[in-house]
Amino acid sequence: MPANYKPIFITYISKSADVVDFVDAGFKSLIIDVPLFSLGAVNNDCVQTDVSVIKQIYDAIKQYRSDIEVSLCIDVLFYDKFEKPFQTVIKYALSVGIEEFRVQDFGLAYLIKEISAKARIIFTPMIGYANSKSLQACVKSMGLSGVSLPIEMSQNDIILATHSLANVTIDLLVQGSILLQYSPRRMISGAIGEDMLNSTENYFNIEATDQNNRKCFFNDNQHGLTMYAGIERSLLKKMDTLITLPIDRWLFDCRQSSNSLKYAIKSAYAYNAYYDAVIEGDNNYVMKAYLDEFYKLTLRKQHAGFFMANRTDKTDFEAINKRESRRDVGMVIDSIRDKNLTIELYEDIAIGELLEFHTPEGRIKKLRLDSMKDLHDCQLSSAKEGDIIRITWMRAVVVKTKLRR
Amino acid sequence: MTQTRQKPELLAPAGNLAKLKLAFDYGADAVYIGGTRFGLRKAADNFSIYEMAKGIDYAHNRNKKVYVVLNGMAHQEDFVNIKSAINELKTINPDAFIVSDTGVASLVKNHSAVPIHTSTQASVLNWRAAKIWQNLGASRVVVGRELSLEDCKLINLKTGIQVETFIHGSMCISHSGKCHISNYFAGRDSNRGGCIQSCRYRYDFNIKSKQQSKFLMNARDIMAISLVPKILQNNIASLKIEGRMKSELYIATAVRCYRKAIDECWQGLEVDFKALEHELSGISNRGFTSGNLETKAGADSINYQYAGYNRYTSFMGTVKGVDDVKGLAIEVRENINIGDHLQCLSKDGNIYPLEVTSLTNLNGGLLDRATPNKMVWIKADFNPAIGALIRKVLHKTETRT
Repeated sequence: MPANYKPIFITYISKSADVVDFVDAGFKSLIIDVPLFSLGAVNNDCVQTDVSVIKQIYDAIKQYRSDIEVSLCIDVLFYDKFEKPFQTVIKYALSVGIEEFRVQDFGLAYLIKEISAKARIIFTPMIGYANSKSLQACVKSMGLSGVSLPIEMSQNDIILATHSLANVTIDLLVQGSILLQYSPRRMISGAIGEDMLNSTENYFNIEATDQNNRKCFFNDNQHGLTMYAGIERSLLKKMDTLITLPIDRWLFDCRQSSNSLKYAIKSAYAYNAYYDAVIEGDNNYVMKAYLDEFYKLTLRKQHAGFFMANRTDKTDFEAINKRESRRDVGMVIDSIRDKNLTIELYEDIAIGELLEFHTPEGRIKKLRLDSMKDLHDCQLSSAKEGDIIRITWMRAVVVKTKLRR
Repeated sequence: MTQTRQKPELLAPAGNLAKLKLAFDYGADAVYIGGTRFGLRKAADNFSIYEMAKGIDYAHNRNKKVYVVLNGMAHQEDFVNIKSAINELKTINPDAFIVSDTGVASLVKNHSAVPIHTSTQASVLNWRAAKIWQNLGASRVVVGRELSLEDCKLINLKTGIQVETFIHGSMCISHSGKCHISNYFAGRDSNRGGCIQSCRYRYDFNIKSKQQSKFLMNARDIMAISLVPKILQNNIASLKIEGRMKSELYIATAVRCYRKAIDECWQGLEVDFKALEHELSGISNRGFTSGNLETKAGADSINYQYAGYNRYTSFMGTVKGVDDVKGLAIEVRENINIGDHLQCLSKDGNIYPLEVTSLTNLNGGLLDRATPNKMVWIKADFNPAIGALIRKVLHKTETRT
């Protein structure tokens, strides 16, 4: 795909009544979102088992615009004991004409391929698999048709990953909520009382304290608990970079908004307009009108997430290398001032060896070992790993000092 | 499929070389350890390559096993070093690599003959997912902590892959590996060893205008010792104790109790589970549940009220020497006073009472009290093996934050 190719806009849809609005806003790919099988669905009908809504939405889309791509979101984790409803929904979706499924569970990908080898599977890892090698292995082992890139990937990682994934549709979340956690336990219901455990009500806007008052919010439903960041990903202001990446579809996940339809529509308009402006080289283009309206809808602060860089990539390799190369001969475990040091040996040693004492404060003292005793005050000429030896006290050498050669 | 019933392996955590030896000495069949990179416990001591080699030699000389964790979720830059790390590690003959990343798994498969165990971080919850990992080269899956014993059994029956499950220790509140909380709150990635356990914090929230403040996500620990008879019926290859950062006393006690339960159940003996549960509740814990092994973990699997630890035993020290006249040379971990009634947790499984009638330093100087990071002689009328642990039973359960 050439750079600057305008990606397809893709988002979630849960009602057939919304089809016209989504399509008219520019979405050319729609993901049918049924609460029973979708992790991020916030519809209060989470316990509904009637999947005929899938056909209603599919038909509405195809009747309005037959060229619109349609997929089904089944991104909850999958337990063998619940295989039946998954089989039912997959078969039903295939029967109405849906060929693309979005999953994060390896087993679910396998199950879909069992039912239909032709089905297109888009892997939507919520967390992890944020490198090209992992994604390549996933594509091969699950027979994937596409990958929705993990949010942890920086722009550089995205370039490497997309180059290594030939003939695979690449999606990237450009706008929307950031999922922090997925638990099978209904923690909110549990906290407020057993009688709420079977409630279909969802709860939002729960604020974290003790941690600089950073906000997060929860959904509590029959899937368990999902936790979202109090910020949202927005790559609108990174458009210059975004358009250079070989991404096939830009994903808008607006489901956690109080007015998700309006939010999705405004997002699509904003991204479309800004894309065109950047492509035309109109660097003075001002999105203010769009942005003001758009940000009023989101309520949450907008960040690029890990798009520019992932700061957890910064590792103290120097410290690690030091630890990797360490080879301790022993450690001081007792000190009696002006008398003795007691040392537990991790290696064999002998009289005459030159040893270094590395104190916890970072000081190094050297000693040619000319005498040592055991715990019973017997003189030793050598000692073995695991032995306890005693030597003459040395200034500055304290308990926890390491011995090295 | 007909299967021969096999005695499950008891798998213990080892945060450093001393704990590795301790775990084996108290009865573990295998341990899992981490190097300085690519693990999930950056804050643990962890092993240098040299220490790993020593630990593996120690294990193999006793017909035991060592699994090395490479279960961080790799990022692109990690691959610069992972291949060389695998090449270096395979020379010291670990019995398996524990991995959660499919890219790391493919590297291990292509560059070594070391068996692959799929980490619990990969959230394997069904037999088809296990099958995919098997195709990627895994001989074992450490299943998600959300699975029941029945679920575990089905995975083994359908695929033949070895199943490993957690039986004791801390539980993640989220689906294993599906958590970014620590990253969001502190910029430390739990899937790359930086977890600060943000889930254990207090959270304020409003429901219908009612302000509440609770430890919403503070999961209780799993303790499954009373389920050992059922576990033995479910084709589970390995029973895992969590806690690479836990103390020596925690490891010795947990290993000793589960060793006893597994061996006695296997022999068809009557097991006093109440006594073993009592023993286990003495070491650091956040309160217990049976996790999801029997029934789905519900509201009682979360300690909403506080995030501290309970214990009623204190780790007082380690026996470093034995003398017929002077008694036991003990490396002290907590204050020991004349008159204290201590216990020696011997490697042979026995517990010996130890009353402190005198305390002397290693030069024979009399002491009123022994303080941490000192060594003392305490008179004793028994001779435990070097490395035995000394503990104190507290009058009541103590809670610590």
